[in-house]
Amino acid sequence: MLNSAYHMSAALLEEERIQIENAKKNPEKFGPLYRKYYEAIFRYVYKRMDDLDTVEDVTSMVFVKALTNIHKFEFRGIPFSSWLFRIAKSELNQAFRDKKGERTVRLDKVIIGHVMDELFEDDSEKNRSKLLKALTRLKCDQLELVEMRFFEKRSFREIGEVLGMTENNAKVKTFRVINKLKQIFNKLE
Amino acid sequence: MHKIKIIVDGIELSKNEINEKQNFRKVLKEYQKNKPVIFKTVLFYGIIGLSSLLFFVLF
Repeated sequence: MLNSAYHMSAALLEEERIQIENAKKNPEKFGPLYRKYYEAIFRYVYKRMDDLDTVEDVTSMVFVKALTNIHKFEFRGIPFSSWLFRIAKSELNQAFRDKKGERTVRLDKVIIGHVMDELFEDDSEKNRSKLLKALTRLKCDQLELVEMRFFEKRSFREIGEVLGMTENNAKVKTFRVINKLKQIFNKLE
Repeated sequence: MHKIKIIVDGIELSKNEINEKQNFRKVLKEYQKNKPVIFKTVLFYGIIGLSSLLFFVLF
């Protein structure tokens, strides 16, 4: 099941556009957008970072950056969250460069089971360990695609909007990464 | 290449636990420190530049 929270009706998008315009005129009016997206941004950062205090700092910095640059934001009929996720990705990379946290992948056994069913034939304990090992061998941008598509269940449209590429490009790149993941998996003992 | 740490079945935070961490005042305070200052904007230099040009042309 895909993440339906991202896909908003025209009325909700219009409401969001008004909130953005209000925030451009008065920073105090950024509050509704902050409250609406705080949890989603926090979870996005938390799933990729090990230290909880740094997760809070990075999440806070995402909203500071968004508010500071909101005058540059142009509404294109897509949810504001895609811009926030893009800032979050950039802030996370900065935090890793500054050695404020370790690149982490948080998963539960249910998600691992779903990925095993979808991508590999034999869902044995040995193969689950191989999958986890294979994930650590991916490059960060490849891992990001796997996380967004398979762990967070995002649509290709959303992935494209967050990563700044077309929906079709997101689809093609994800399939290439899956092939790469399978190759790594098959080479592991 | 980054070292990647995998956490399986780690601590799951509830919606309430996450939302209790919200602090919009802190965001506003940080924004005040970082907000673009008028003399650093293109608009400001545009106005100053145009005014100077007009001054030299007219006088």
